[in-house]
This record gives sequence, structure tokens and C-alpha cells, in this order.
Amino acid sequence: MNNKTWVVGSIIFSLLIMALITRNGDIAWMMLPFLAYLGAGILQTPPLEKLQFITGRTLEQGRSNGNAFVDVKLSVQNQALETIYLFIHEVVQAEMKITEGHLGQWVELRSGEAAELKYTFTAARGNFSWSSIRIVVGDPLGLIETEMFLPASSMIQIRPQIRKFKAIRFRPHSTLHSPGSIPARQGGSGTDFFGVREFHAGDSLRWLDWRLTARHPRKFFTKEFEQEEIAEIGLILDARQSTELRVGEESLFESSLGATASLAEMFLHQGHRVSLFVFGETMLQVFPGYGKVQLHRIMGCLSKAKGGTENGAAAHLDFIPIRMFPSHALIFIISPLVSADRQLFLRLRAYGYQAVLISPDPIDFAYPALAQNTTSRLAIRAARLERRLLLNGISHMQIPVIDWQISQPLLPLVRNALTRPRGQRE
Amino acid sequence: MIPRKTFFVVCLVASMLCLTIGYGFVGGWIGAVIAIISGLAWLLARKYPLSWLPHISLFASVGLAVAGQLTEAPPLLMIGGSGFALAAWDLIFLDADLGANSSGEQTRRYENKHLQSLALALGSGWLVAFIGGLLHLQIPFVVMMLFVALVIFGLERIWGTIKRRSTR
Repeated sequence: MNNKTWVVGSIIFSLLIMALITRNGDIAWMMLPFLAYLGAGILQTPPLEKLQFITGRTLEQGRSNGNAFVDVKLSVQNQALETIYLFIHEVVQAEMKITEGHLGQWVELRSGEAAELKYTFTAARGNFSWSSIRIVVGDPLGLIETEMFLPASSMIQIRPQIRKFKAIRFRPHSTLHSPGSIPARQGGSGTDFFGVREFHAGDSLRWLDWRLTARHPRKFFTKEFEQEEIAEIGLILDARQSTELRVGEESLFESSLGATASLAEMFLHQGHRVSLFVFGETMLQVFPGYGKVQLHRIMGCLSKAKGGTENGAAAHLDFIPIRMFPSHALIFIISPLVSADRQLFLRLRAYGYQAVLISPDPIDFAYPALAQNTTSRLAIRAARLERRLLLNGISHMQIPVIDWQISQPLLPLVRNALTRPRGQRE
Repeated sequence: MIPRKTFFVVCLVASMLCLTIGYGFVGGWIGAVIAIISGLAWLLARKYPLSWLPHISLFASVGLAVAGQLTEAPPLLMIGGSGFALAAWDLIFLDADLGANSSGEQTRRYENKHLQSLALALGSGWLVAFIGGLLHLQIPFVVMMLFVALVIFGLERIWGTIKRRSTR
């Protein structure tokens, strides 16, 4: 029963009471159009027992990269023998932006006939899933309506936009003993010449150093090559509310997230083992892994990440469970930082991790939105000084710091940070 | 112009005219002015269909019609005024429901069916009311009370049916 039915019913009842009180027959006759209206609605309402529908929801794709346009098609087919009047409604989800089509439609469906509702939406990223279609069945006058949820499940994952980075040649302090692309400072099977040693039983005869052997009778020497191994990479994305900043449609967190996705793609493409930890209201983690499957896991995790509200446990970066990363891993921390976050870097160094800080600059990001007066200029200057002090402090711990202004390309900065001597500021 | 919008304008003007002329017949100029002002309220109600304005406008129009009946205004005009107000009220909600998304064949059929049902319901209601208005019956008090009890019982049954049908 909806508002229309209530209003019509109460008018009929009021007119009846008024007619009785005033003993005026004309007022009673005034009820008749209202009664006829209500009666027409009741008589044309389909019996619920006989209703049968076939429903479906079709998505153009099951997975998509950021800012893609996704076409959705809902279909409802009337399997009852009677003509049905119904409203097909799609429930819009947060972060969805409808670019084309409508989310609701009133239709008349004859027996066996099907109706379709099409719309297109876009979203920066996220997991979108539906389990049912909402329909409202009623009479043509819309007086008696029944809400039904018909099963039609589907889902789509919109992943963050990836900027493909070219491979970076870098040398972490330690490597994993699996064949890869990083020179491991150890002799073994590789391509680059590493040294010569005395021949041991079992060595391949192909690598005998004949010149040295000729100079030393009764001794054999074999050439060694530098082993090439993979690196252990950890990514920590800061999703705390205190570090999130929004200027219009732009979000600092989304930039950090995009950078994390691009780094993960680059390192996995190079064959390294990568893990991820998203530190925020809901802590998300992807344990170390390789290859495309790991990239799918990381992208799935990043598409769920939210830079939303904060709880007490997520107040300080120091609460990050850094032991989830394998020892001696190269850890990238992607965070704009707040002044209390210095402690984490001390812990990382103490545990023997090699760390790199990528810090999107919140002051530069917010600068266009700030008032251009003396007070504001002073405040910006003070904030810049505070940030510089914080970054310098971290830099003194032999941790490369990338002070990233998000309008700049990130790749050259990361390349410089990984190839320059330790502790040198970007 | 879309049929439902045309019908809304027609029903609104007809309702205002019925009430204004009805009050004019008995010299109730205040009532006539209020009837005209209520027309403006209907236009506002059409702009904000999701608010309570359409319901308030309908109650106001029906209230005016009842007041007209009590001041000896022509009953047929008063019944017509309240009936057209009911149609205008219904068409406001139809327009809000269909909105800009009424181009499809199935939606057009739904709209036509709605208009047909509305016309049929109001037409039959008016016909019976007009015929009834012409008859002057002297009903004994006991019969009258039985009739009222019957109407209340009928309303209760209708209410029960509506509740059952709208619950699943």
C-alpha cells in the first residue's frame, strides 16, 4: 500500500463521516469518483500467485580498467498469462556514475513479452556486484503495488588505471634464489663474467678457462658467471583518512593508489616477487607471489581499497605489521606522511628491510585550492618546512625519499632513487 | 505536448472552473478566489511531485468542494471539481513516474492504459454520482445506518484485500 492509496482511502472515509455528520446526501455522492478510482485499481491488480518472471542481467565485461564505460542490460520476461504492469528498477551503488540510460522504467508486459532496461555507468575503480533486480508490480493506476526482488546476479571489477612503467635495472641488497634479472653478486650460471676458480668435479667442461689451465700445469680452472636472481618487493599503501586530501574531483589517495598499481605491474612484469599491504580503515593484504595471477590479486585488492574513515588502530603507520613481509625485502611505502610517522622507518631499518619512501606532496596538490593571501602563504611555507624536516629525517636513516609532486611522472624519480647511492634525496 | 501533460492542464482548469463557477452561483466570492489560488498551488505541486504538496492540494480541492456543498453550491459542479482534482493529482504522479523515460513502446502502452483506466474510473463514478444527484430518495434512519455499516464493512474488506495483495 502506498501514499496514493492512503490519500484516496482517507478522502473516502472523511467524505463518509462528513456526509453522516451533516446528513448531506450530495457529499456522499462525492465519494463515488474516488470509490470508482480505488475499485479500478483493485480490479486490475494481478494476483501475486500467478506472477512468473524470467530475469537476467548482462554486463558487457567481467573486469575492466579504470574509468571504463560499462554497459548493463536488465531483462524481465513476463511468464504469466495476464498482462502485467511493472516498474523495473536498478539500485545504484556508491561510486557509480550513470552516463547513459535510466535506472527505472514503467512498462506494460503482455504474456511472454520481455522488457529491457539498458544503462551505462563509469567508475574510477571498485567492485560492483548485484544479486537481484527490484521490480514493483501493480495496477495501471499505481494504487496497489508489490515490491519484488528477482534473482539476477552479476559482478564487475573495475581496476585502477595503470601507467605502464619501463623496466628499471636496480640492485637490491638481497635477492631471492630464483632465476631473475638482478645480478646477485654471486658466482653461478648467468651471462656476465664474474671470475675464475679452480675446477671442481661436476663443473661443465664448456666453461673451462683454457688459457689459465695452460699456464698452470696439472690444474684446471673454470669460469664463473654472475648469478641473476629476482627481488622480494613489498608495497605499503597508506589509506588513512589523515593523509587523504581531495580537491574537487581529484584525490591524493587515488594518485597514490595508481602509483602502487603501476609499480606492482612493473615489478611483476620483471619477474620479481611482490606483496602488498593497504593500511587504512580496512587493512587489505596480498601475500608474496609472482606472475599474472599475483597481478590479478593485487589489482583486486587495490580496487577494493578505500581512503575512507579512520579507526583507532589505523591512526599511526607504526601499527603496520611489517613482519608480514619476508626479511630483507625491498619495501616501498607510498604515503603523503604525517609528522608522527617517522617511527615506522626506524623499525624498518632495525628489522633489516631496505625501504624506499614515495611521498605524494599534499601541499603541492592542495596549492591551487588555497587562498592566495599572506596568512595562507605563511601557512604553506610552514607546512613545507615541516614536511622537509620530516623527509630529511627519514633520508638520514639511509632511506631513499621520493618527494613526488603528482603532476610529475613517477618513473624517472623511482629510477633515480633505486640506482643512486643510498640516502641521497630526490 | 505529451498526452498526460495536456490532460493535466485540462483537468486542472476544469477543476478550478467547476469550483469557481459553483461558488460564483451562490455568491461565495471568497470561495471562488480560494479555488483560483488552489490552482496555483497545483502548479507548484506539479513542480515538486515527491513532496506532500500534491496531497495537500487534493485535500484542499476536496475540502473546497465539501464547503461548497454545505453552502448550497450546485452539487454537480462540486462533484465535478473534486473529481477533476483527483484526475490532476493522479496525473502529477504519472508524470513523475514516467519522467523523461517514456519513449519506449511498452512504456507508452503503460501510459495509455493508465489514462484509459483513469478516464473509465472517473467517468463511471461521475455518471453514477450525477444520476444519484438527480434522484431524491427519503431513506429511513435505520436503513441509512445499515447502508453506512455496509459501506464501512466494504471499505474494510477492500483495505484487507489491498494489504494482502501488496504483501509478499
